[in-house]
Amino acid sequence: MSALVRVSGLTHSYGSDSDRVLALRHVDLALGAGERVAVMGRSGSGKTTLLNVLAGLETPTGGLVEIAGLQLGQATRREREAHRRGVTGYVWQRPEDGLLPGLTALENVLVPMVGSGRSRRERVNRAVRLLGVLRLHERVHDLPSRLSPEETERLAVAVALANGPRLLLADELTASLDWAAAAELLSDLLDALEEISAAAVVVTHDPRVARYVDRVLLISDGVAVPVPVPSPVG
Amino acid sequence: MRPTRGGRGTARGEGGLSSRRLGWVQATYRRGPAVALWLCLAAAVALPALLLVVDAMAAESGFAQTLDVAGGFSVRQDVSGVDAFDSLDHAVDARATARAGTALVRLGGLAALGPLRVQTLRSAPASAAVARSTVTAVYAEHLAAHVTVVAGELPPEGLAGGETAVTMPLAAADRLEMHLSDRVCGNFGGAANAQAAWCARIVGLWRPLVENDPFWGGAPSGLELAMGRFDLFELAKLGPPHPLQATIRYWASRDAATPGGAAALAGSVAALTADLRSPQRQVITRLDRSLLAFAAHERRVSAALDALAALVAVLGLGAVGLAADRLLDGQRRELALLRARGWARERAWLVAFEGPGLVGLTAAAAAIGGCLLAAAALTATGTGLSALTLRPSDVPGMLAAVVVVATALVALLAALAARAVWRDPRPSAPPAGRPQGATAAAGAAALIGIAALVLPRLSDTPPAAPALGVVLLAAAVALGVPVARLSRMATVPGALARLQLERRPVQHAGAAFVLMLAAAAAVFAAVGLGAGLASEVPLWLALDVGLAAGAVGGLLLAAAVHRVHFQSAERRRRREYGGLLAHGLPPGQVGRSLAVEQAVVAGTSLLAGCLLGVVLALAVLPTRPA
Repeated sequence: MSALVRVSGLTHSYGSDSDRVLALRHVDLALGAGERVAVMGRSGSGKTTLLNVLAGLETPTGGLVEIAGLQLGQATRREREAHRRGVTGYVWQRPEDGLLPGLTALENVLVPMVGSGRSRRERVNRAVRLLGVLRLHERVHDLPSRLSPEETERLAVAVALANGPRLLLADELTASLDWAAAAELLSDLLDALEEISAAAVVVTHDPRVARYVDRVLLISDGVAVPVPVPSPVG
Repeated sequence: MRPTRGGRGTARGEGGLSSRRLGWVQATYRRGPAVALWLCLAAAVALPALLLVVDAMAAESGFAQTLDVAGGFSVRQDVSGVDAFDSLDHAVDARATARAGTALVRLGGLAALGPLRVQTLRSAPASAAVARSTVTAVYAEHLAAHVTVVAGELPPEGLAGGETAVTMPLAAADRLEMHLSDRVCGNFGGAANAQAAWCARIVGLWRPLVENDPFWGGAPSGLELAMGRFDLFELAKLGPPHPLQATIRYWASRDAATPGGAAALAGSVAALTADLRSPQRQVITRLDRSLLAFAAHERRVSAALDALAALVAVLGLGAVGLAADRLLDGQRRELALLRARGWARERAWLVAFEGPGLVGLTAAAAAIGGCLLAAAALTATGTGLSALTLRPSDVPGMLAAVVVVATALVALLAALAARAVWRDPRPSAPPAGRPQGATAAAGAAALIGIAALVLPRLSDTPPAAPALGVVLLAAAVALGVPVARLSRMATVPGALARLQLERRPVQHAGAAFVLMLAAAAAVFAAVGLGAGLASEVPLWLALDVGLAAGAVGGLLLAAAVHRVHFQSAERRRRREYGGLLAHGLPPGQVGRSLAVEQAVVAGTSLLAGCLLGVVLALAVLPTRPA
């Protein structure tokens, strides 16, 4: 399995010299295509920072981060934009953070595809299909404010998968759901990822989520250590 | 909350989601800020445009009225016969053409002979009343073009021989009890019972085609017997007591001159008058003096309206900046989301720009429509201010000013959109702090802009210019230090307000700036309107209309902006003080602290605005003629 994600000695800090906060310290991570990793850890341990760096939203202050052949530390603005548009899909901790409230579910899925080079028909077909995969086919024309928390989470996932990313980054995907709804969503997500052979990094506090991934990484005070994986689901 | 878009549960045009459509949806999704921006944009375009239209209407209507009332130019001289008449005609015409070109339109020559007393009418002695009246025998060149024949006909020019044919105004005929085909005989001067020396037959009765036709020289036709040129000069051979009086008449043409060229035309007319006047020759005109007076008044009225237009244009820019900033502030998370989804900065900028831009397009269309309606309404009032007096040459100036305002608005929206998409693309990140220095710099730049626009107009009143500069400077300083009044306030709201104003002293600069300019416009207008109202002269009437429109529009705009700004500030405060509220700070204290800030900002800006308005009024407003 070739490495899609190669992180070596990643260090990331916030603030100026006088009040610097070190969020990540020498994190190493390698991820092959289609591989799924759960990142666990206490609040403030640096999990979300790791996702932001992998998504190209934060420029790493030290170390190597290479995703799909692009070194994010040296990438230009346009390269980072292309990375966010075509390589990664992001599901925010609060799913509504990833949605535009004035657009319908369908339009929200279409947003990442604007300027992707696909034809109009292709974009709409793909968006409708994604919404179907995530069981939102009856919510296509609804605004996000009309959706239940589970449906909102599902819509956020559909938007993140819109451009067929090679790496899905999900922050506390199931935090707002009961376990039955969370399990159903994770199952549907795995199917969708399977279909496009996408890898995933899922930040979670819930150990049960770890059963849906290949590996678990524990981050504590900015340092990442691998931990044993529970027996797979099913 | 709107569950779906499209009314029937379908979202129209979803497949064609473009940056433009997304921009429109984003801009209009939150109705309040969108409506506020629309109103500000409409006012920002409409107010300066309306003032410029009123200015142009004032100039054109005033110019037209000046020419209507005082456009005549006549040269009068006694002549001995037809040769002298022709010689005078040629001499005057040559000078008039040389000095005034086509600005003076020749109405024609007039020769008059009198007084003529009627002895017999219809071969019977004239009644006592008729015999007491005297008539004037005239030859009026181009008479046929200015009358409508009521009875009979006008004999063609050049027809002579046989009995003298005369025509006369119907009103004069009624007064003298004369009818068509009557034979009338009379003589010059002398007693009523003297023997008749001259007879003629009335072959036509007419009335003036247009009552206020310049052809009549401002006076209605009187007791005249009009005849052909040959007949009049034959009559002159009968030895009248007074020599034949020749008048060569002109009228100033509105088509050949513009209000801006009034002073130059006055100079030409004065020079022509000097050329033609002599002991034997009289020049009858007040055109040069009227044009000079008009030009002087028009310049001052125009300066006042231009200054007010500049003031409200900058005010509009400030209001639009503030409203657009609030609108984009509401979209900050969503714009960041687009960037986080990989949208290029340029494409995200398009969304942030096109939304307000499309709102602006509809607002500009409404503003221009509103201006046209206002101009039509002014015309319909029949006060003398008329849009019908405008001519194509007035349009480029007005259009250029509107284009400048529109360009400034577009640039402002573009800059604000760029600022909104420039920063951190993380949608869940807290809103970035405002670059406060930029707000202050924009305010200072706008003040300097007003000064640059207004100061060149102040050449007639140099002492006021330095004072204006001082007040502009003082106003700018006043905007930056609205904390002075809070220094002794020890209450919780006072402390919170002081904290806010000390920490971010220019956070209210935009609202304060708009309020200051609105106050300046209102005071400027109040001083102008206080000097006199409801004049019937279009120029002064236009000034009144412009001042009132600018002041009311500016105050409404400022009130709207003030409300939008402090509503937005209150929302921010409640978020900011969330922790304090959770720890028991009464929510009312937050509202009261904001009220204190509002009072300080409003007080400071109103004071600065009033000062600015007074100085502008002293410097720019014209003194009305008694």
